[in-house]
Amino acid sequence: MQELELIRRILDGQIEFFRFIVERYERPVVRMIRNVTCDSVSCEDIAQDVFLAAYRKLASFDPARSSFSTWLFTITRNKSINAMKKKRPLLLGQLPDKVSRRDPSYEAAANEMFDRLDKKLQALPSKQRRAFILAEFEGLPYEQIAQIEGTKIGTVKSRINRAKENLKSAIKSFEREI
Amino acid sequence: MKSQDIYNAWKENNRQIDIAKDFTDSVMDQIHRHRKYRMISLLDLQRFIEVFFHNPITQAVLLTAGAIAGLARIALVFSMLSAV
Repeated sequence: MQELELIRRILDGQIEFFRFIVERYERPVVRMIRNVTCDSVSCEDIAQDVFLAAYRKLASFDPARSSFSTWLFTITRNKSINAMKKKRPLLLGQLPDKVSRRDPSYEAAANEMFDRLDKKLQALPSKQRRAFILAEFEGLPYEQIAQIEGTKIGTVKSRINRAKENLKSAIKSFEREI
Repeated sequence: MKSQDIYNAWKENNRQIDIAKDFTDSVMDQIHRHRKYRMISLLDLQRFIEVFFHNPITQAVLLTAGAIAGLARIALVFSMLSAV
């Protein structure tokens, strides 16, 4: 069923159709929250808040202004930022360990590099990090990222380029060490 | 493994996500609860209005207030006319 038809039915009171929306977007929403907040423990709770807010504000969604995914990702972005504000800032040494999500077949050097890249990503300025995550992990086009971030496409491109340069410098310094 | 391969593997790793199997059910439960709460609130408001306007004392107060406002307006009109 088309998204707009789903939304029309939900607004008509057939709220069980919202289940299709949740099933369609749960993975990208939870993933975006996890990567933006660097919190793999609370990301599902925040995602539940995102979907509840989306349901409550659904009548305000205007398909002429943006696609539904852009609208939902904007709510996700705002909830992630709010969650980060409430949270005590993490020191680099306290960053969550992601090794458990990894393929054990990766060699030790690869895991070491994963850790460095994770830490480098988490140390990036938040705007750069979000732009990079939306482009590289979520695969969103620049135009959509610009809408979500409420900025120009050129700004998004430069944020992503700066983030990539920062990450490349981490790779280069690692290469020099091994 | 080359650096570029590791970089690509790292990106792929960050795209992986495991979600609780009951995630959708939990969201739907919250939405049902929210809707129920909203309906109860609306019913409460409706009930309050019904009780408020069906109470004879309230009706008497509203009628008196309306009569006083009407008389005050008439008095104001007469006072303006007499001034002219």
